[in-house]
Amino acid sequence: MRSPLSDHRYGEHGVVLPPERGDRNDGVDIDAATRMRLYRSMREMRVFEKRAYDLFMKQLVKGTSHLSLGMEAIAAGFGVAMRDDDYTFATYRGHAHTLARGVPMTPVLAELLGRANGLMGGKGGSMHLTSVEHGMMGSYAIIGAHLTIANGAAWSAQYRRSGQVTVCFFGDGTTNIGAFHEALNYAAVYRLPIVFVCENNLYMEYTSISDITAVPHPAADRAGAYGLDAVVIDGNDADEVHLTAVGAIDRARSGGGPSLIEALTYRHGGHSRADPGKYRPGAEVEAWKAYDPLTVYRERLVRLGVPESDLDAVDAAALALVDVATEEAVAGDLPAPESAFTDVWADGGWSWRN
Amino acid sequence: MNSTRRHVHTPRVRRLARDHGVALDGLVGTGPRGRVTTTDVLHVEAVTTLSRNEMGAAQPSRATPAAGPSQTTAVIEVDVTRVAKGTHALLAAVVEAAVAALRQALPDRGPGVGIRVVAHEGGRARTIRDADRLSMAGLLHALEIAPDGPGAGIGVGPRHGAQPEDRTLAVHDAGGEGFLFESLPMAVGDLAALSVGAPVERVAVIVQPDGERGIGVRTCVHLALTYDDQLSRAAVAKMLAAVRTRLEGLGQSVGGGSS
Amino acid sequence: MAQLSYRDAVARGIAQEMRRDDRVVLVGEDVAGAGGVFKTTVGLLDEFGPHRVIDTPISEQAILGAAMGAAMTGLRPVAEIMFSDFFAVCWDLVVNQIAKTRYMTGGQVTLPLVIKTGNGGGLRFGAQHSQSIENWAMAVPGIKVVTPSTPEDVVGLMAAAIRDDDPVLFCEHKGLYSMKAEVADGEIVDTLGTAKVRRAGRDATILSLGMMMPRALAAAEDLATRGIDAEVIDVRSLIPLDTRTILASVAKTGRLFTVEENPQVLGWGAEIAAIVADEGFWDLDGPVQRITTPHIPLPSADSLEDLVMPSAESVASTVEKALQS
Repeated sequence: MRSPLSDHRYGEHGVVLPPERGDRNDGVDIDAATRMRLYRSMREMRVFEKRAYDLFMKQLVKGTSHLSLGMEAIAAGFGVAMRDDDYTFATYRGHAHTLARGVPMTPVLAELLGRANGLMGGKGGSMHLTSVEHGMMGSYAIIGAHLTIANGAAWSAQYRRSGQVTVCFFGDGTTNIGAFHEALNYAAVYRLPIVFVCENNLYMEYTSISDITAVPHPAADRAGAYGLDAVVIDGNDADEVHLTAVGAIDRARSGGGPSLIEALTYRHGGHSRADPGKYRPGAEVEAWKAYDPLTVYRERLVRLGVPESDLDAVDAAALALVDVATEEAVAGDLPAPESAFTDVWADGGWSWRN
Repeated sequence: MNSTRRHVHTPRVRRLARDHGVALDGLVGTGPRGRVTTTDVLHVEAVTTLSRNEMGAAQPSRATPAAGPSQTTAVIEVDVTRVAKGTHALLAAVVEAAVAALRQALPDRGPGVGIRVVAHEGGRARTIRDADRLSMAGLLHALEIAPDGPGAGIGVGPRHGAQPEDRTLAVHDAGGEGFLFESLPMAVGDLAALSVGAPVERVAVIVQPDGERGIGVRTCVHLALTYDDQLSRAAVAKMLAAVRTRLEGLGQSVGGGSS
Repeated sequence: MAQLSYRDAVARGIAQEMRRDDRVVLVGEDVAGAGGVFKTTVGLLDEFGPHRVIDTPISEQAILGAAMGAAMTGLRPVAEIMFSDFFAVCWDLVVNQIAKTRYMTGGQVTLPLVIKTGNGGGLRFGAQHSQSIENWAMAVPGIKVVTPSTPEDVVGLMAAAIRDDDPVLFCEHKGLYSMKAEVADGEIVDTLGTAKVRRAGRDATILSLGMMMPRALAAAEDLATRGIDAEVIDVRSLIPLDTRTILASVAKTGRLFTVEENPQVLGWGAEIAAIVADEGFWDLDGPVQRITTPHIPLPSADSLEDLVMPSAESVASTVEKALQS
């Protein structure tokens, strides 16, 4: 029996390297338009997260935020595969998942800045980004809880026979909390139309996931316990993610029940803005930064004949979008004082007594 | 109870006192451990109000003797045949009736305010507390009025205590001297003075239950109420009528509710 | 009119609403096939079928999460947490997720759900199956809390809770399940946020809820024989709270007592006492007194449990002594 902690020294665990760079997915069945959508989506997420970082350093973004830098392929790969009325549930590291559903940049950025023109009027903040109209059913800050809530949305879709699918994103650390296990069992028992996606970036927060998990693949090695297939994919390859997503979503939509996908990826930054990430071995960080999903994808698109100028244009457009969003967010008013007292209840108020 | 001890007044008492303009300082309380109760406050207010409004005078009369308000005497005759024979019983019955009439006149008193009877016996005043809770027999026993006729004073005051501003309805036995009635001067602090005359047997008209009139022998007594401008004529008439109704109705309704 | 038990009233209230609205569904442990461990959901599976009345695994977090997710997306679920003590297992879903999500999303999400639960002690189940947790819930902004004490109120408040677009914690009292009373036939819909004066009086106000209500009423009858006319109010709804009725009563009587099954510290009456001490201060003719279980876990031995919980006798003697001192 292997004991993960027997040789544990904080920060001194083995290096985990990314997959070999290659062209194995160049020939997969994804049309050019979809590929451009995937690229654009990732680029927009990248420039947005970089801008959020800059604004945090300028102390315009308050509190903390958890950036998806380096993890864009998962959000983009699934986002492009989803129907407009499908449901997304994400963690507090949810900026990319919010943009992936077509939510414009301005309200998302303004929410980080705590402005009245923020996505939730400044009431929720970075960790709770929600846009029901886009199917983005929330970003959740308590580890594991939203898996159980995502089940509810899937149950509702099943009950109403709407064909909607729920995709629920979470990290590797989530696989060790009670709610994960309750949710997986529950989804399997009722054959819910849901896809669980574990974004395994190798670190639960500041601790290597392999040090504190009894099995090597935190999500995939638990799938069998719930009657599900073990699936591990390259989370930094947008095509691989997208194809997997299409398959799992179709399965759910056609009544085939839940799936659990483990996608390997890596954070370019720390767990949150407050974390410089010094517990990760330098060689590992370097290798994964080189295996950047945007770099990998751009190289593939060029190999497949997409002109660099087209890709540059997409990059420029994304930058322009985020510049406009920055202007509009920074210009946003502070929330009206009365807004602190709205929307506790369905009637818009907060009254608890007469 | 040491009246200079500093009392702790509850918020409700303080608010009531403030709202009704009652001074709490020096007010003797009838509540547990001498606390001033809400009814203590309300009583002061009620008595003051009663003097002012209910009994018809323009303002409470604390007239000094020199001012000497003029006094009037009103007389009624009451059929006391039903009252048990004997002067003691008659006086007690009148006291009881007067107590009942007073209670009717002070509607908002509340359960904490009682009616005190002061029996004057040869210059000594003895207090019977909560006279309105006593039965006729109890009053009789408590009064222990001597046949040669000390009077009894009835006042309204808080239970278990005495207040200097209590008003007294003085009841005197005129019949002991064989007088039909006496118009007695009021003492300082009296609201009024009621004299009870000697019972006289006479032939009188009796109205039967079916309306038929007949002749019978009845025992009658005169009650004379001397009052000044603290009371209105209307109030006096009302009170005497109440006393008569009660005395003439004695024995008719068993356990009849007190007013 | 017919005799209806408190437990049957639960099923009746849920059925009434399920007939009326297809979006109402029921989910919980043993609620379907078995009709509930306390038999509060008997007949619902037969009438509404397995798609609307669902047996779950022992997974309190998953149950409440499912209720929340379904409520966010068009359904009106009723979820059961079997013993209210088990809320501790899924409290995250209640206070961090259900209570806060509408607020955090700027009103984008509405959660028309009901969580029904078997609350309270007196049944010798011991400390982990006997707690009254309505005070825990009262302390969290974003959840409504009701505590019916009669079969009629069970039906009416269940209907009101299900029709309400906000999350409602419906605290059934386990000790009242066998209670029977006459209840009118037909549809009954009550109003959240309303207290009821069960017995009018002049000398003291006694507030209570749940299983303490019958005890408070019995105490009032006893007090009446000793010349104390107590007004007894059934609070029924903690959030929203009917402070108007309570303050009006204290204005009349000047004395306030609460009878609480919660352990002393921060029971539901503490907040009400604070409100009255502030807004009803000038009506108070004596100290506000809370009659509660002491601040201890509940013992399981019947003699000990009865000793520590407020009884009609302890309420009557406390009130009488207070009024005389």
